[in-house]
Amino acid sequence: MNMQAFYKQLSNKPSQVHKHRLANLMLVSRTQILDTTKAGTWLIWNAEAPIA
Amino acid sequence: MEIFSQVSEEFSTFPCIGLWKEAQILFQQAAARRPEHWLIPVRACESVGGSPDQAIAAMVAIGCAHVGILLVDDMLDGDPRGDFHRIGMPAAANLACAFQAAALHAISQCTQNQAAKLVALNRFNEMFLRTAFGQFLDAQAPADESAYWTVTQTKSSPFFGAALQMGALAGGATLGTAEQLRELGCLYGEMIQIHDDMHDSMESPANPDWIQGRSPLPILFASLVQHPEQKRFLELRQNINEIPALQEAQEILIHSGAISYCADQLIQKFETAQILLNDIPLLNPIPVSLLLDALITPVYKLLEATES
Repeated sequence: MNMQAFYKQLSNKPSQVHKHRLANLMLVSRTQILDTTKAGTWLIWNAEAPIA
Repeated sequence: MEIFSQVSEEFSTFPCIGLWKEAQILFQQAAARRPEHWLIPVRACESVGGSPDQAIAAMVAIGCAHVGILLVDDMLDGDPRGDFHRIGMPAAANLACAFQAAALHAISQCTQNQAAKLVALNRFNEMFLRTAFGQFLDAQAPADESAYWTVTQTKSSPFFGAALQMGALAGGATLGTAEQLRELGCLYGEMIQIHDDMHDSMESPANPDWIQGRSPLPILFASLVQHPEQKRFLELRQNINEIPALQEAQEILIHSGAISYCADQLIQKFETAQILLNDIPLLNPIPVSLLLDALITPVYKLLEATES
C-alpha cells in the first residue's frame, strides 16, 4: 500500500486494531518519536556516545 | 582485548596506515564510539556457528566502509557535523578513497576459503558501487515515493546486506546461506533508513535534510499526500530555519499520519524479514533475530503507549 492509500484508510475511521493504533500515533509527541528511533540511525556519528 | 580495540589495532597494521596519521585518527575516533552496526558481521558469524574472533576482519571492513561512506555523505549533504569542515574537501575525498580500498583489503583477509573470498570481494565492491549510486540519487532529492524507495534500496540496504553476508562468510557459512543473509540485511537496511528518516525529521534545529529540500519519508508523505494541512506544510518548508516554523511542520508530520505511515512500513518490513529469517538454515538465529528486534521493539512500545 502506498502513502496515498494508507492515508485514505487512516483518515476513514479505521476499524482494524492495527490501523487504529497507527492512527493513535498521530497524537504522540516529537520527543517520543526521537526516543523510539535513536537506535536506528547510521549516517551520523552522534548516534553513538563517544567513549571518554 | 576488547573487540573494538582489536579492530583498531588490526586496521593500524594495513599498508600505509602506520604512516597516515589522519586515517588512523578518523578510524580510531569512529571505533571509540563503538558503533552498533560494526558488530553486525559478528552477529552473522555467530549465527552460522563461528566465533567473534573470526569476524574481526569483516568488522574492520565494515568500519572502513562506514567511515568512507560517511565522509562522502557529509560532503554531499553539506552536513555541519562533517569532518570535511576540519580537514577540507580534497583531503576528505582522498581519505574516502583510502577507506574504500582498506575495506577491500580487510575483506581479502576475512576467510581462507578461496571461493568464499572471491564472492566476498565481488559483493563488497558491488556494495560500494550501489551505495555511491544511491548517494548520487539522494543528492537529486527524490520527488515521489517510488524514487524514495529506489534511493533507500541503493544508498542504505547494500551496506547492511554486505555486513551480514561478510560475517556469515567469515564464520564458514555456505555461499547460499550467506546470500540469504545478505537479502535479509538489505531489508534490515531499509528499516534502518526509515528509523533514520523519522529521527532526522524530528531533530531541532532543522536537520540538513529539511534545509536542502531533501525528502526523508515523513517529509515526503506530508508534502505529497493530500491532507488538510498539506498547503501549510509546503509553506512552512520555505522558512524551516525558523524554530516556530520547524515546530509547526513537525507537528504536521505527526498528525498528518506521516509518522504512522513510517511505523506501518517498519512493521511490514519486520514481518517480511521474519519470514526470510525463518527460511535461513542457521545454527543459532538469535543474534540476527536480536538485530531486528532492536529496531521493532521501540515501535511496538510506542504503539502500546498510545493505548494508555
